[in-house]
Amino acid sequence: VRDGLLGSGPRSASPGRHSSMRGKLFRKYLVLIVTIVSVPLLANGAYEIWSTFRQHMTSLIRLQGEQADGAGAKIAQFIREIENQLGWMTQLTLASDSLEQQRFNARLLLRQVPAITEFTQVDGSGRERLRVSRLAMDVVDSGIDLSREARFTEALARKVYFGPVYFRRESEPYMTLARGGARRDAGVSIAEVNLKFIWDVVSQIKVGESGRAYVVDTNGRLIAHPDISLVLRNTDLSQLEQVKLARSSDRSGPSDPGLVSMDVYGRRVLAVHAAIAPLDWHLFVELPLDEANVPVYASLRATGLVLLAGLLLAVISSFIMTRRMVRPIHELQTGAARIGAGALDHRIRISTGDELQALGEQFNDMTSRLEQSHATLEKKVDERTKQLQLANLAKSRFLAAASHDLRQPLHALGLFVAQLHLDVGAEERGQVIARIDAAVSAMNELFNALLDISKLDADVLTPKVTGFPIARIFDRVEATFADAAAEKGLTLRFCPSNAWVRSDMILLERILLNLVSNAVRYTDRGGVVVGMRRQGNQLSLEVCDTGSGIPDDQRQNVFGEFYQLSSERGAGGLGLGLAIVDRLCDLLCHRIELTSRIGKGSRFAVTLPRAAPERERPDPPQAIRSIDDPLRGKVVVVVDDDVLVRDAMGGLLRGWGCEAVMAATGTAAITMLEKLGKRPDVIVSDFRLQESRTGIEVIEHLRGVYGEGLPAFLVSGDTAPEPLRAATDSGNYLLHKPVQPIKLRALLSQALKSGANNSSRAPRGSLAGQR
Amino acid sequence: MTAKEPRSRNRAWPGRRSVVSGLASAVLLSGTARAQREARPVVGFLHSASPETANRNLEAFRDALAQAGYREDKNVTILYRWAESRYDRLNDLVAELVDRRVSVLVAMGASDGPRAAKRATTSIPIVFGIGGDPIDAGLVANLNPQSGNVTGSTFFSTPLGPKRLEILRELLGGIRSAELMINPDNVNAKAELSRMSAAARELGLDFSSLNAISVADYDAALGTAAREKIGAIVVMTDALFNNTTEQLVAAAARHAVPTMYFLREFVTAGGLISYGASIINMYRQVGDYVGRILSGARPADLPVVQPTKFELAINISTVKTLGLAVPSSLLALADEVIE
Repeated sequence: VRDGLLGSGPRSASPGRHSSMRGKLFRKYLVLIVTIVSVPLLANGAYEIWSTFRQHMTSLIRLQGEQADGAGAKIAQFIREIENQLGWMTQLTLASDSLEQQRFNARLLLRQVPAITEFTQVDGSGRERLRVSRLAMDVVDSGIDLSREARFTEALARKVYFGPVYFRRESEPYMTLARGGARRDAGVSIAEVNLKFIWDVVSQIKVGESGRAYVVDTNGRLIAHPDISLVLRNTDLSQLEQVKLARSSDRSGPSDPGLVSMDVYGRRVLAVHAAIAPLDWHLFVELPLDEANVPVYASLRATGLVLLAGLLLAVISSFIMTRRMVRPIHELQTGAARIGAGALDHRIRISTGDELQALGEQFNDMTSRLEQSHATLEKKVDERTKQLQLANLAKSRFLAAASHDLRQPLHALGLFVAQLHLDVGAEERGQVIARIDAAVSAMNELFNALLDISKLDADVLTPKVTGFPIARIFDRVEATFADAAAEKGLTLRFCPSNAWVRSDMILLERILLNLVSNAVRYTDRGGVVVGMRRQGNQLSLEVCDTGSGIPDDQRQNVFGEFYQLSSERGAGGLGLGLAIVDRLCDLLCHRIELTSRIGKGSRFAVTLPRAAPERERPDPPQAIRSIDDPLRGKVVVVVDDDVLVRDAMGGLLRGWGCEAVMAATGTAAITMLEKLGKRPDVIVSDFRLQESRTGIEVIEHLRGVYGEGLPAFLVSGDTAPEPLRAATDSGNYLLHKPVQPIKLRALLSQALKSGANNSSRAPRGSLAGQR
Repeated sequence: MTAKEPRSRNRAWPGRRSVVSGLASAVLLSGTARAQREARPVVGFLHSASPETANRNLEAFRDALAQAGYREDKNVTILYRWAESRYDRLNDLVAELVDRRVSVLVAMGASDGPRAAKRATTSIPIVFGIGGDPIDAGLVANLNPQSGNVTGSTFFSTPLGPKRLEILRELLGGIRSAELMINPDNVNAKAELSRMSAAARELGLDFSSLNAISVADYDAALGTAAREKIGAIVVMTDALFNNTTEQLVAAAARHAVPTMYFLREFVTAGGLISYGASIINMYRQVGDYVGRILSGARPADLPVVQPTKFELAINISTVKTLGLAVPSSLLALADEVIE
């Protein structure tokens, strides 16, 4: 039932939460470990790729730059060569005597320089002297006036003239190159240069698979490209980024940082350029990025594969690691959850050989201990429940017995009182009164016994343990029962002993009284022997009788309240004696043993410690009762809410010569005292008053008005433990109803004699049955 | 500004297309040959002459085509049509190729071929290879056409006639007359003759023409020239002559007529002298253009290519055989002197 109750709630709610938490922990660790492993891997990979890429680009740019510079130099050389040749031709003009000679020179020039399609010699005045062409017949001494043309004037003025690039028949790129002589009369040599020859230079430049070199003129027009058709189509490249940049940049810049741009085909290329110095042309070397990056891609792929493999490995190992880490934790978690839900027989199984395993084992230890204590507890609860049931039963039985035992003398009392109402003789009346007395004292005895039990149960008795000679008790008990024993024809023998025992004298006397009373009561023949026996350091106080004996199966029961052996019912007695003995022995820590044989008798043995004998002081002589009655004329305040009790008490007190002030409450008492103009000498207050006030409060109240030293007693009909304890704690002497008039008188006398002393305050509880 | 990227010239590896079709052919090894043929582009190759002498030039064409990624019988089919110098057959041959829906029509040799092709189609790309001026021949409006379906290359031989005459006169010193050997079937013949006549006049030479329509005419024509003491002969740029190099050179030798040719191949075959550009380069150029068109280039984006190198070749042994002496000034200018 317990398991079910505890387990049903959390158990049904737990699986979802646990699994999500497990997932969290697993994910957390997995992510952490994967991150730890893969971040450096990725960073390293990225750095490697980046540096490879940079290195590769740098080397590509350097290579392309070298190629561009080389090709540029070659083209510049090509142009310079023509320039020089023309210079020579101009010089030769002066040296040669005939035009025929000059013509030969010119044809030689054409043979040597295939790029020159046509050569023209102009004299100092600007007249054409000679024109030699590859395609047409030579023209000698045409005298055409070229003196106003730029190729003549510029060449004369600046020695060299580079004409703009033009396209013959709209397709072939040409340039006019003219060279003037040192002297004006040397004239000018003009060459029409077919720039398709630069193709030889640019087409020789191999940049990877599909890299290209090409040349643009100062206007950005294409004049040399491996794809001759592009050149022939007179392509304008001035809008390309790299061309714009090259044309705007300083032509002397030797090293080009390279530029990623579009080429003429619209592909992304890495372009590096070199300026061709004398012409303001630009040579570009371009490599498509697709191709340029092939090694980078390859290395990227390789790095990527390694990275991927690394990551995969990292993930797998992280997975395994995390599983190994998290699994025992899960085991612990689910185990704890199950144990927490009440499954105490669950055991956690972890065999990782580390702290987690130790933790699991500790968990298991804890659980098994918990399981054990749980079982013990259950057993105890069962036992206690059984005990409680038994106690309840006993209480019921107790009540039934008590009421029965009270009814008997009450019944007898009623009969006796009825007898008194009849007109009877004085002798007979004396007999009846004696019987009433006996019935009252039987009731009194029963109430005292009940009170003793109650006090013992309430734990209000504090034993006062001292060393004393046992003989002192023996004397008194012997005196008590001598008559009764003699009446029944029994021998009552107390073996004289000079032993000293360590106990509470009064309580031990009660024990002995009860044991002897019992023995005398239940023994019909033979006798009772009381004696001390030494048992090592201990002493054994033994009471033996020759009664009917107690059967084995009832030995424990005889110590219960109102327990009487069935065979002995009607023998008198209340069945409380042994219960009191048992409780007292418990209180004093004395062991009590019972040995009995049916038909032979019983022996009760109380084991108690020895005490060192002291010199016995004689009891202080009993104070001789003063002849002067101390009660006479004293003001006694009685507070009780019961009118009958007030009247009875008032009558009794007045009979004793006291001035009795009877009140229902403390306030009423004060009012009455003021009316009389008297101070109280002693207070007697009922414990339980109206409006749930207590006698303690009343006493406090009156003492507050008339001084702290005012003697007071509490009278109570309660046998419940709580009021007993409260009264004891308040320090006031507690009398129990019914109060024997003699006892009340004795107490009042003592209190009034000691005057304002606090002697009336009882330092400890006492037993009602004390005599 | 953007242009189609050409296929790499020095590609050692076949293009993607060839790989794909190679794969396809491997898969369909015994499969339908038709599907295979359809997947493969077909080039129609028209030549005004016959295959024999064109072989070396064809090699250059095929090389260039292969470099552009197209290998004959691997991933391109070439349908050859030879007019055997009978120019009247050209139209039929062109029609045949157009009917076959070729991807590119190549027209080599006399400009009649490309002209017939141009007449036959405006959709099939035409790549010509001729010796004359393509503008004069009416093939293109200019060398950088930018529209139309025709492009090609010329070894720019026809316009060099006057130059050849000039050089020949220098070689032979004091000749007074010269003759142009023409193929009257060539549409350029008349124009060439008039241009040469003008040049001859300028040089102060008597000038006339010799006709040769076939190899059979060579001996008659050259014999006549020899008998008439014609000092020199310039051979007109024509596929017939180019196609029959050996026969023409042999005939010239038999009749001991100093002859100026338009290709160095004549000189290596024993001809006296030549001035002109390389025809092999032209074939190579045509092959390159065909490859580029097969790869998706438009003919309009491909300008007509002219040669840049013009070479003077002289055969010294022929000079000696003819009992001539080469002036040192000319010898010094020769790009190639063949012993």
